[in-house]
Amino acid sequence: MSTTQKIKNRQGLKVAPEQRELFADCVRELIGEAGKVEVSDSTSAGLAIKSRHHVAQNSRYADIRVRLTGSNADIGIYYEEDGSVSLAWDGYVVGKNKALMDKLEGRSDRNTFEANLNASFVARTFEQTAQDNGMLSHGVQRVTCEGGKTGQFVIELDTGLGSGIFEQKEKQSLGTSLGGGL
Amino acid sequence: MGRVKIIVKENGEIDIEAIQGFEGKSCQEVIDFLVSRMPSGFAFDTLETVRHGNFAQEVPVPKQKYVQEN
Repeated sequence: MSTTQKIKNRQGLKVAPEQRELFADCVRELIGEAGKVEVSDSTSAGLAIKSRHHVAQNSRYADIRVRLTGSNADIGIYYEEDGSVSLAWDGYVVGKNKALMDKLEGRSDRNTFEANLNASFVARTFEQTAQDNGMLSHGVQRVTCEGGKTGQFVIELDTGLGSGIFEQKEKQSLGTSLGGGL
Repeated sequence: MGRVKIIVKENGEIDIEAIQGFEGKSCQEVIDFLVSRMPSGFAFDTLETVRHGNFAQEVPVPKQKYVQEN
């Protein structure tokens, strides 16, 4: 018999306790109409995960529980002690979800979900940091990249800084680590 | 007012573009300001660790250069 078990986020995402609300918002936003997202009260043991398979002992209670529409099994999202994030996402029981596929360029697999959750969280953290420092955000939007196979999150910020007319477009590329907020 | 556009891609790559209202290198100052105020733990100049296939193999991605195109 198969086992549904949590596995650490492959991109090394970490979420600090004070960022958990923002992270949960990212999950809600990414799932959208594709299903139901429930967030555990921080004082409780977590939300029990249902699966068609056996659920591993360490994965039975999730901090965030997602039930995709039409599925009879849950996706579990867990905060680990070191701040990392794990997911119990059994592709065989979660199944394909049309709403999620429509949003994610025809994909509904764990890798895609994780990558988008990471990117969304980083984008929203940029936005929150900017707002906390007096900048104005025009919102975070997910757009499909050229070629139509992947997506990206875009934010425009009025910084209140700089001067004069910016005649020549400058492009800055940052080497990145989606190491999260710890 | 200076406006920047931040693009976060699925693969973790981040582009920040100054799209209006900056002069010379002032955009750089804004980016430095913003990045320096991100929650601790967000590191933009270190190796990224990703996991592939069997979920146990850690594959370092080469450090990406910080480039500026004028």
